[in-house]
Amino acid sequence: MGAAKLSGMQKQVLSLYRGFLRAARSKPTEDRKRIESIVSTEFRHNSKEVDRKNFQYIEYLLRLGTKQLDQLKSPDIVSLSSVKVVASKT
Amino acid sequence: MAFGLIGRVVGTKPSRLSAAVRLIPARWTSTGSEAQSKASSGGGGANLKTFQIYRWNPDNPGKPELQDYKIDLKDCGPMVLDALIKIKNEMDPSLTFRRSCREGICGSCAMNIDGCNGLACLTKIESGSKETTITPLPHMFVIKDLVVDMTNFYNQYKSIEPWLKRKNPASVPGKEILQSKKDRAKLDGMYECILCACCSTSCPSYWWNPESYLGPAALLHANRWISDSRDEYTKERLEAINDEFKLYRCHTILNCARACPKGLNPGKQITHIKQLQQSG
Repeated sequence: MGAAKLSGMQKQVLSLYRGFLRAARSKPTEDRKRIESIVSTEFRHNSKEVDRKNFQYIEYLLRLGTKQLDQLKSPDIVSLSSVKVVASKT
Repeated sequence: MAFGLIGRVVGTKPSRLSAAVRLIPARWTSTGSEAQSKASSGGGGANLKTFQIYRWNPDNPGKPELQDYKIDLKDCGPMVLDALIKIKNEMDPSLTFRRSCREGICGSCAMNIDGCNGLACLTKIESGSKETTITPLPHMFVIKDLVVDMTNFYNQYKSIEPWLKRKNPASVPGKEILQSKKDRAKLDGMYECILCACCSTSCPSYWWNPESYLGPAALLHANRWISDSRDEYTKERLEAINDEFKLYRCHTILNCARACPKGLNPGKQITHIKQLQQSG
């Protein structure tokens, strides 16, 4: 798939992605598709945009993702939605 | 009666109006004088002080940097928090920091000022032309600028179960559990803790083991519940923290007592716990 041997950080990112998909499986079907699409677009966007060497930012995103995953795992949470905000230069 | 009332109302109204009328121009002229003084002192450079503040934005991630801001101390309150608010209001609205009470009781504005942890609202700006460096609490993950991730710290506080636990119900059910003055005095020096995290983030032992060592703040609170005469789970509380990492990473460095903005001594409380572990 990717490199021959994955680095520790790459493994963390993949396990976070797997965690999100597993959490999505426990939600109702329609919300499950929405969660999966949001999570996959977010991960793919970051994999292209974020520099591989920018460890501080990647760790920041991992921590943010882990917190969001803990929130999503709770049975009270039903679905995930995202809003696109365009930063305007005023 | 009616005349008297009307008379009194008539008598008070104009004075109230005149007071209001007096207030409004006073406010206008005060801001006018401020603007004038800013213009004049800005040109003259009277009592300018440089603040070097740690900046890192997760939206434009790069390397964190120290950004310089010059503040005229004549136009600014005496505390570091006043300077930060002035910078945010007038110079750079994107500067991000936590603050709430501005009187040293909430613990939100804890940060590292000139190398020492403290509350920005209680730390006076050092007079003189030397630059003041403001960075977030050391060895904590940074969310943005001076805001750090406190979840690990709060989870450690939660783990010591900081509430009263009893095996037997109160002697008079529905009423308070009584405590003598001497027993209440045992809690002095521990109940005042505001959970600002200045002590824990100044402890080198906590820097090297933040997930396993509980840190001075959590241990201070653990001692607060252990020493509470109304709590009946003392033995279980002592056993829960009697761990190589949770308690015994403390090597009495005592940076915590130096950093505490409320003047508490977490190191002393940790020593008390260690003594109880020895004897019990």
